[in-house]
Amino acid sequence: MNKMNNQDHISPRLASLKKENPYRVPSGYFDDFPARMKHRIEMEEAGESRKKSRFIDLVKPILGLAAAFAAIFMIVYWPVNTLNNRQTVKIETQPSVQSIAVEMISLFEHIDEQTFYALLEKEAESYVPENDLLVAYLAANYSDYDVFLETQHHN
Amino acid sequence: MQVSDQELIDALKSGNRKDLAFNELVMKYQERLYWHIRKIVINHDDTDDVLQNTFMKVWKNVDNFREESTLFTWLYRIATNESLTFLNQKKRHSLAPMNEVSDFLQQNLEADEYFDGDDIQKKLQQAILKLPDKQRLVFNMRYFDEMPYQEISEILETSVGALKASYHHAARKIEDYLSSLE
Repeated sequence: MNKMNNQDHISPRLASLKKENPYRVPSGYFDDFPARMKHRIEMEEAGESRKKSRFIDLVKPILGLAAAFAAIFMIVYWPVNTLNNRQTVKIETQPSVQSIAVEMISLFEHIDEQTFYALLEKEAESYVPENDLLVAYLAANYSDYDVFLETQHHN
Repeated sequence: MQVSDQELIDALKSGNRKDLAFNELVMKYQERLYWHIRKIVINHDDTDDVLQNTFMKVWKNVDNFREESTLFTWLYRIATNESLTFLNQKKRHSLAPMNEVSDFLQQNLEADEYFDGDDIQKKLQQAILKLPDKQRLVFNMRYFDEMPYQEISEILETSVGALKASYHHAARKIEDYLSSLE
């Protein structure tokens, strides 16, 4: 101690004081402390595991709800959705029929009334053109050479 | 036969028989750490709380102890930090205005039923409690515990030169205080 005091150049007043510890502890304190410390650790660890289980307890109902919603989705929404999809397919076929009808109407629009009724009446009959029509058709198919031969022949 | 620090560390880290090793550690260091903390927080009940917190920290963090310092240094460092944290919390949560931690400690000293010192020892304690935290720590560790500066340096993570200066200032202030009372 004197060695330390000399090294530190401690003041004479401090050097003259007794270095006794003026504090004391309750009797048996250090005998009991290890057991109290062990108890404290056990309590804290139990508290931590309770916290963990409390977390699971909190999450459990949420997980249950999520599972219930998933089950409802599978039981109700999915079949309903599948049925709706089928109806949509049926509905989708209707526009195609309508489009065919529209095409037919547009075809008939270009046919005059007489031809239309004639077509209805002579549906199964073979079509025989009239004489004038035949002459006109043949005349339309004359080549320049045929017309030349015709004129030569008349001359 | 007392178990060595290295054996204690190995047993605590292995997890095998951790309880037993920890009990050994508590029995080995409880008194030294108690008196270190008691000189910082003064009151016995507060010291008991801080000592328990210190050992709880050791229990929870022993796996992270990298053994860059000795077990003794590590324990003292935790005890010191816990004590200072306790004092700062007291200062923050005090209902009465408390300008300095020393006010709270002076009150503790006056009310301490476990103080057996005579008049001059009480005056010495009062003088010590007037010191700033760092100077008080250094003075107690050097004057009462007679700890080498190198060891104090490792615990407080301060250079030996700075510690010597702190001790010198602390001793002079105490001397002045005691002189003023005569």
